[in-house]
Amino acid sequence: MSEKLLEIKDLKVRYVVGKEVSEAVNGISLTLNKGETLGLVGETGAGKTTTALSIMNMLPQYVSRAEGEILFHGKNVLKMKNHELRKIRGKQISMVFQDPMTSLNPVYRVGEQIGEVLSLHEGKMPKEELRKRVGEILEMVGIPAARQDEYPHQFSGGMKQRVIIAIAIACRPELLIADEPTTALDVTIQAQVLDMMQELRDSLNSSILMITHDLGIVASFCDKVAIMYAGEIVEYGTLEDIFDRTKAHHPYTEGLFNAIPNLNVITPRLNPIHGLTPDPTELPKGCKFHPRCPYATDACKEGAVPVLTEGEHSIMCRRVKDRFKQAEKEEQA
Amino acid sequence: MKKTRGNSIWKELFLRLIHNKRAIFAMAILLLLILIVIFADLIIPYSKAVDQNILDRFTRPNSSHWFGTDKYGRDQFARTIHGTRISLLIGFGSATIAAILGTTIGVAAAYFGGKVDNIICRILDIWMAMPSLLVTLAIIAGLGVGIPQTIFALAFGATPGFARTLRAAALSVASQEFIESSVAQGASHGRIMLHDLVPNVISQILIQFTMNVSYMILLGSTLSFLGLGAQPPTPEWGAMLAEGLQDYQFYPYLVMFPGMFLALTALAINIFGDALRDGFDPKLKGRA
Repeated sequence: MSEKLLEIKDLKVRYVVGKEVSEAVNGISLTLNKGETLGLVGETGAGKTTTALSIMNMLPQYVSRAEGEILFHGKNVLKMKNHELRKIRGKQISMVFQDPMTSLNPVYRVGEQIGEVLSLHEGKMPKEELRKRVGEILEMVGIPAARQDEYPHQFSGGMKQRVIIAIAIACRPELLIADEPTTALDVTIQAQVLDMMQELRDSLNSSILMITHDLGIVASFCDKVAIMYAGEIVEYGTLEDIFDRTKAHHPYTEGLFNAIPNLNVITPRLNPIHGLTPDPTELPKGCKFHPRCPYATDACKEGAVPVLTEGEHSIMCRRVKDRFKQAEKEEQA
Repeated sequence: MKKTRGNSIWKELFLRLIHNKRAIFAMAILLLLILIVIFADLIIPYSKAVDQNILDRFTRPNSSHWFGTDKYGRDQFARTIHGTRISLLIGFGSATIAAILGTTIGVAAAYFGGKVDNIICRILDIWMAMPSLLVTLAIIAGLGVGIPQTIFALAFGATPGFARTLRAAALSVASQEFIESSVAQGASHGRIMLHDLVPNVISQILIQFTMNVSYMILLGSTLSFLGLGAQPPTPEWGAMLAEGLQDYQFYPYLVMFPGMFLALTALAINIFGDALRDGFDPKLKGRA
């Protein structure tokens, strides 16, 4: 088995604003090995970004409370001092943000912004050498080195996202967190950026935590998939586990796949999951998905929900219990 | 391949300023004032500004005394020229101190937010609730009269307003993603404030600074006029106005020249401030 890079153990994050307590992440556990790509999927408000920010210990100071452990190379990130964190951020873990339009500082040339990370983490180097390094990094993301003297407003959205990725990979991080890196881009640019990220992953051998709500991206990009709903990981498994529709799934995962229109069938109406994401300040008791679940029984409305595991595939639902057993029996027979 | 290089904001600003007629006018006057400040001793020696000559008292402007003489026979031209130094020193000195303090306080409040912001804002509220002229007078009463005291007192009065404006400007920058992105790259608090926040509000700082300079020059002259700023025989425009006031009905030139310099300086700096604002944000032009 390959080396564990990141291990999240029972992470809980709450946002406290006044008397309102918002339960953003409710006890998730995840493991990410070296060189692996994990897709974190879920709808808006499922707690994906909160999870990502906690990995870098960058949750907003005054309003958030994080419990549990996030072990990076065996050290708990949540307990680290500021100066320790600064050494890790950008160097070992780096992050690509959602919106390329506002993630670059408008008053500096893009080259200076890439050079900034380099000089922060690798010490001062002569101007010429820095320019050369910056140029090489830009070429890696497919931007001519000569454009390092331009300002962010002179770049298009897709190019800006490339620059942001360039900043993120400048120090060859072991873990790259990509928070919906393609959401703000149009489809053709999305494909380009993803292709590029894939090449980079292969050449740098970094682990990637890919946060997205696009199952298509997950299918083409990730080794492992975690499906998040209301701050919990409801289903986790390898790409095959999740995308094999003959296997047992969490009803939420099923709903997600049913919502994808099939190109070969005439679909007069899309098939959404009914209802809305629960309000994180007032999460339902029992299984958090039960108000929207077509299979919900009275048992689902109370108590903790068991997590059922089969190999690496785990599902947080009562209902699949029988199906997992069935599968076991068939294997035995 | 052709090397592309974007214009920096400074170059853009410069280009816009030299295409603005009012800005040219203001910059010409400011340049003249700066030259006067630098070469005051070459234009006319300081001794002429302070040496009394009772025989020459109340000479009307003529070829040897361009701006006439006062009741002690001191050359008004020399006093006005050397007064430029004092007035601009008070104006720029206090505005610079206010800008540094105000920017630090405002940017820190905006960046740290939460409790820090709350505490800073309440302190600023209290600070601003005190009438500034009274506080200035109280500080001078406490520290004694003199130019350094005047500069400090004026800066103290101007700082909270500066901090407020900068906090508002920095707040809109602090919430942007590139700040978060800098944190993710491992930058320290100080670095983010100095390197990411301040450059993004530099236009506000400069505009505020310029407006403050003219206000501080006027306020400094007011203090001298009241006898609390520059002390005799130091030549200062406000002090000259105060002295001239006793005899202006018979010798109006005594208040005319220092008054004109004072008004023209404030006007030029204000016009320059407006031009700066238009230069930094051309969309605003002609609106405010």
